Amino acid sequence: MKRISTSSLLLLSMFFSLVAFAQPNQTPTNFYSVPQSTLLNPGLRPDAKLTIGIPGLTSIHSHVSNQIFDLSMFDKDKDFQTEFEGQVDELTESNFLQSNVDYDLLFVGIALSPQSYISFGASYRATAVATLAPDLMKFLVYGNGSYVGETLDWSPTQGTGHHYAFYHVGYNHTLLDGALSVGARVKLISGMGSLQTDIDQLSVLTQTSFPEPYTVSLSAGGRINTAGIPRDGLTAGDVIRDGYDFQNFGVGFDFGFRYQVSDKWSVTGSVNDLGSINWKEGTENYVVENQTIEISGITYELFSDDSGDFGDAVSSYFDSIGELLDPDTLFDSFSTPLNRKINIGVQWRFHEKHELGVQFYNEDAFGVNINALGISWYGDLADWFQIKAQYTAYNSGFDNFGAGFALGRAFQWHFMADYLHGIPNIATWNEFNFRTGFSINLNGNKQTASVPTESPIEAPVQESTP
Amino acid sequence: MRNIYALVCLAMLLYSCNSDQLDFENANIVLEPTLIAPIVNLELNLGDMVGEIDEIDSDSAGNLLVFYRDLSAIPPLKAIDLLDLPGSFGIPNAFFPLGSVEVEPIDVVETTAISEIGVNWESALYAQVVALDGTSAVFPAFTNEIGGTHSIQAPANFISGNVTTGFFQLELLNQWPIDLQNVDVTLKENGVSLGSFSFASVPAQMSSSSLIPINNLSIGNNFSIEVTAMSSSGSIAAVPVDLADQLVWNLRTTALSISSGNAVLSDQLVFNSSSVVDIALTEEEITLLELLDGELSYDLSSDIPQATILRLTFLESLDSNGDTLVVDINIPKNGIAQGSSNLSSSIFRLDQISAQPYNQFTIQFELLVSNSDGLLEPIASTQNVSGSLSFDGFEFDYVEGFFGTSIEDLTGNDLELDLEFLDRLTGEFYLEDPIIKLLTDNSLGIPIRTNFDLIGTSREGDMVPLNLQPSDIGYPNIGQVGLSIQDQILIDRNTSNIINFLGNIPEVMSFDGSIDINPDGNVGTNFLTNNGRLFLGVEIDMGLNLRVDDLGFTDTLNLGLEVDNDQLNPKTVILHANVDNGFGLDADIKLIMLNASGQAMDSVAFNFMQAGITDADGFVIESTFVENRIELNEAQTESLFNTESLVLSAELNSPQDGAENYVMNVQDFLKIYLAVESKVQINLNGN
Repeated sequence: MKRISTSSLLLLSMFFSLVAFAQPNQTPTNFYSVPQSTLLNPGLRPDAKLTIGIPGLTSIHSHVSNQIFDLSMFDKDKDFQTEFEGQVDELTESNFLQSNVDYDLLFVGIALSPQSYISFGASYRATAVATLAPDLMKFLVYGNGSYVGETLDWSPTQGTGHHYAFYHVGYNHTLLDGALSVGARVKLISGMGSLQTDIDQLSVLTQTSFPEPYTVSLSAGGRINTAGIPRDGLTAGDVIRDGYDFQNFGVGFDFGFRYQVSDKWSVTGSVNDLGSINWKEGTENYVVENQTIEISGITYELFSDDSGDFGDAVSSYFDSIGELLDPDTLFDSFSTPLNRKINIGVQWRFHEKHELGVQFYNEDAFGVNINALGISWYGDLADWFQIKAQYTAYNSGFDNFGAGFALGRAFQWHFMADYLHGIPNIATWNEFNFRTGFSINLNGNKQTASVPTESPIEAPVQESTP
Repeated sequence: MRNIYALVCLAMLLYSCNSDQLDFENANIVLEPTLIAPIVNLELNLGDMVGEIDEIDSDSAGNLLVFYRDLSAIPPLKAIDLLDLPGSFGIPNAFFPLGSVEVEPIDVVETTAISEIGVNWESALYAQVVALDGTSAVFPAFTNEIGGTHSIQAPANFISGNVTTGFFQLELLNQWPIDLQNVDVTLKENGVSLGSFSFASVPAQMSSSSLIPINNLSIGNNFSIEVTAMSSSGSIAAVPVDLADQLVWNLRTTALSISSGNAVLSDQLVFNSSSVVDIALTEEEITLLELLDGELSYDLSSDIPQATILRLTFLESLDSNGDTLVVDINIPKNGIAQGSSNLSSSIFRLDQISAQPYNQFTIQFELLVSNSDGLLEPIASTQNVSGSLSFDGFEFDYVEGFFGTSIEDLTGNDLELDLEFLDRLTGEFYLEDPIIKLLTDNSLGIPIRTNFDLIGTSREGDMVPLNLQPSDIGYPNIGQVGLSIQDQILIDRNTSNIINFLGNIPEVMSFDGSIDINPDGNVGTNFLTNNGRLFLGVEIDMGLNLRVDDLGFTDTLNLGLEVDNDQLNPKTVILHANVDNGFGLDADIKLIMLNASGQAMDSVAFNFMQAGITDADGFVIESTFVENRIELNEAQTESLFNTESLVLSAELNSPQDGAENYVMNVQDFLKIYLAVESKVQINLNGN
């Protein structure tokens, strides 16, 4: 009881500290006792013969990663401009802003036999990734006057996102006397909305010249695809209908395995979200053909066209530049890929109730490559309480600490958060990630150290390799 | 351990609440980028610049000239204003008496038998004849026998009258079987002899007439004849003798006029006279007048008991059909005639009276009386037609003659030179060879001479006269009626003060003086048509071969940058202005920033461009390139971005500080490359 009180106090304090910040942060990682973990690795078989996620509360996951700026620029003891300029100086093309929302409305898992397990459910997902060209920020901060003769490439400014509902069915099968468990899942997707940029070129070059003092070359070209963004707004009925009408149809696949190498060692692996969504309903494409505009000033033609108002002439001048970049609007179909994720882990159960693991994580988030390597400790402290702590290193950060717990067995609540290090230093806290959910598990067997159930690393978000 | 857990949790809870280290509300989120923007890239030549200015043209060599033309510098001089015809003239007291009138002829017949005549012969003779009555026998001869008095039937168309002139005629038809000789008959009225008729021989079955004049005699209609003598040689052979055989007497009148009486009138002209009418003019001497409009007005009354016609025949004048102009005025008997007769398109010759071969014409008046349709009318010679005749509303369509000398004062007429580009110039400049032309378009056939000067007033109020010399204006001669003669009076540096006049940059040209009509008197025939006009225009041809010294040019630009100073605050501005100048003008520029009230907030001055290199004739042969870097201080920058309007003031100089000429050519170019470099403070959160 004492242990329960102490551990609960710790977890509750972590939870409420996050609430105080209004930014919950838990670690979603290797939790064998959480049946919803099979949604991340189909190779993991839950120990309950029947699992029913609480409808509407099966699993809720939110994740935001801001690799572009941190809040230290707002520190009252620091000069905003100096801080901001410093962050802009350090900004690279690989820095990104990512957000994900997963909402599992329904989940049911059924053990068909000691070897077979089937699960199905319905979920909603929204995900978006954006990158910001450092040169664009440099232009905003320093102006083009500081980069005369130097091309400011704004084309890395990209952004892609989509949201959709999907309906999935998974199957897990145990082989080799239980040493190997493999699984797969198919997802039928009904796309609800998308925005996708494909900027081919966007740059500014300011040069000294003769006889002109300066000229500016503006290059632009690319396209922006949208779908499910009607001009006259959406109704709740539209959103619900888009979730099941499959007019923008996609298919996704998950594959996974777990292999018990020995009593103490096991390996796990999974590939999630192989597939794409084909958007063909309610699409709009804004296309600018690749072109370069030489800007040298208001010409005689513009002057002679004015009404004697120099301000109007200047406005016309900039309007004419805008008209050159004026995109054509098309209504072509396009596709967005699902964010493919790979999880590979090696676990060492050095104690009946304790396990250490090493996980590698890779995600292709609309072209942004995210890699992470984590070390975790999993504690199976009681039949009704498990806890996990994790440290994850990633390309540009080595300070991600996460933690989570699962409380209960037949009726289970899980809560996980990452980036705990941000709690004491919100000025540099750029990410949060949490997952929580409830499930009912019938005829479950308590997992033992000799038969661990592995959970994959769930989407630790890290900077991609530049 | 439990305590450690509790402390850690408490610390994290407290720290998580420590978010006030970050200040989102009051942070001064400011960026200060340095922005460079090319603003102006003008490459233009003078041809482009002046292409929109109507008043500037170029000659065949491409040299610019100011071309200003106003074909109606003053209101046109109209022919109808040069010659005023009297509004009304004529005969106020016309009188046309009836006088003696001719009456319808008397024509009555009377017969007398042998028995009525013979009873007055010697009795023996008469007895001899009576004895032969009814037989065929030789009729006896007789000599100088009387035949007695016999009444004549009274005529129905004549009661009485004071005969002024006329004739009685008596015709004798001899129906006797013998010839008659020496028959004398006395005509009597009311027993008073009017005269005697003599018939020397009247053969049997033949007739003979005799005529007697009547003058100034009052008569009635109780006529009789008395046979005072008659003879016959009788017959040689036997003739049938019948006492009933007759002599037939026919009494008639011819041209019987009476001054009073009661008779039947006949159609006749009772009055015929002519009169000279003078158009009341003073100095003008009109010889030919073609009317566009005009009328003869009359107001006549008549006490003549018969309808009359007053006929006016304008001698030597023609109506619209080319016939002699005749006007008939119908006057009712004992009535009034009022009205008018249209004389439009009539042609009056006013030069036919040798004593005064102008301004006069002759009218022949005739009074015609109609017959009285067999009715007897009381007639008196004092009966008449009287009243007034006047000529009104004469407007000429064409007129010839001499129209006198006069002066049309032009003083007070101002001509505003609508030269927009000149409005922006101040100071003085020197033009090499300007020309002003007074353009005339004249259809007035009359000598006219200018006798005025033009006074140029600049925007600053400086007045410089042009010193115009009097000049004759071209006009059509008598063989060019209907044509308009275009002519021009050339004014150049040799004939006027044009250099100083235009150098003053006149904004208004004022006329001072007049134009003189027939300045040399009557030296030829003048003519005018009704629509004749004299248009006086002004043309200015200024070849832009000029010297200018600190010539001012000012323009105002509505800048309206509408910068939100709360969020966007330019701190510094550097204007990079590269100028490749192919004009032969230096330019010192001053920019004055005005606030909304039009007050100057700040200014910046700089030398903008240097004149291109010119040859000895003033033509630009090489451009001059200048790089300008104009750095505005913080105050000037703030003013620039807060200004409502920007006054651009330039001082221009031709080469060598205005000492040398510059010939402006359409090929002369100016290239201006302007970029702005500005450090801009951007306040993102408005603090």
